[in-house]
Amino acid sequence: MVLCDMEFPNHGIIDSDVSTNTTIAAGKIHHQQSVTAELAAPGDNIGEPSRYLCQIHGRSANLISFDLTLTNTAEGDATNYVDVTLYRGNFGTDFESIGTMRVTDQTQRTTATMTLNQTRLNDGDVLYVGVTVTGTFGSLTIPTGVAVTLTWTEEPRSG
Amino acid sequence: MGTIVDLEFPNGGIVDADVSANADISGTKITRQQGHTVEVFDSSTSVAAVASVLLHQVYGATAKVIAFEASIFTVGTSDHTVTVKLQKANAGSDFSELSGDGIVITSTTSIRTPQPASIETTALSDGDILRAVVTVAGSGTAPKGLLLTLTYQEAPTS
Repeated sequence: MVLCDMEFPNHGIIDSDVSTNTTIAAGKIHHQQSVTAELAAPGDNIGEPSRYLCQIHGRSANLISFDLTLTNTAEGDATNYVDVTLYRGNFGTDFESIGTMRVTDQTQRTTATMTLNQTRLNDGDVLYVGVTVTGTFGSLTIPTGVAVTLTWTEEPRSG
Repeated sequence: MGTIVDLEFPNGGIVDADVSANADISGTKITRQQGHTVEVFDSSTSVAAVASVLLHQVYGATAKVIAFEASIFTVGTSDHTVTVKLQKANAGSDFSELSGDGIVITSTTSIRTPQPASIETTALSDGDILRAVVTVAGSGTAPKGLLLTLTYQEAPTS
């Protein structure tokens, strides 16, 4: 029997429609992944670290989010701030910025999310984060204990 | 009520649009593909020998290696080579090679370009520990920056 126009109840297949005795092959699913990198340990000033975060292995990929959190409540102003930039490079090309977030005032243990200029990634793309600090901060509290989390989806390719 | 015994879906099977946006398909029904990337040396640091870079411990009923890749960020010179091998061990056994001769990086290797290993043994078992071993040889200048990415699939353990 061939069904040419079939509608599932519940507006599509849901969990209970899938056998408990099956595992759907990874190659049929886009996988969401994340990596968290500690740029500064709790209590340590952020400084100007850089980290490689991931390299894409998939026919295609999409960035979902880039989030930053601190262990202290940081302060800043127009002349004292921290810029965190996400870069992408691939196959010998120079790294290009795909987004920068400026940390001026941010409450401890809350998440700030970067506005991404592009989200489409290609196989082999390297994602890299860099930090620059502007100003001496003076009596202002510089960010400490900084972690970033990159989340993306990949369409698998074999081999 | 009759029983459908031979059901064919259009498009060769169920496609994404057939799955409800609220499907919440259980993780126990899906084999996941994941990647794990390790910055062994940053882009300003020369690559040196590393006896063991621990990458992952398998947690799954079955698992397999999909790819193991290395990238550098500044090329080395002359006859300098970097070799990166993938190994596994389990339950007290010695580490064994998964990637044969490994990834060999020379002065002609392109920067920021994934160099894939030829994986001779892809099958993994629950509890397998995966690590990379980095060795160097030759008298030239070492490349700078080393990024390793392990891509693997795990079928869930309930």
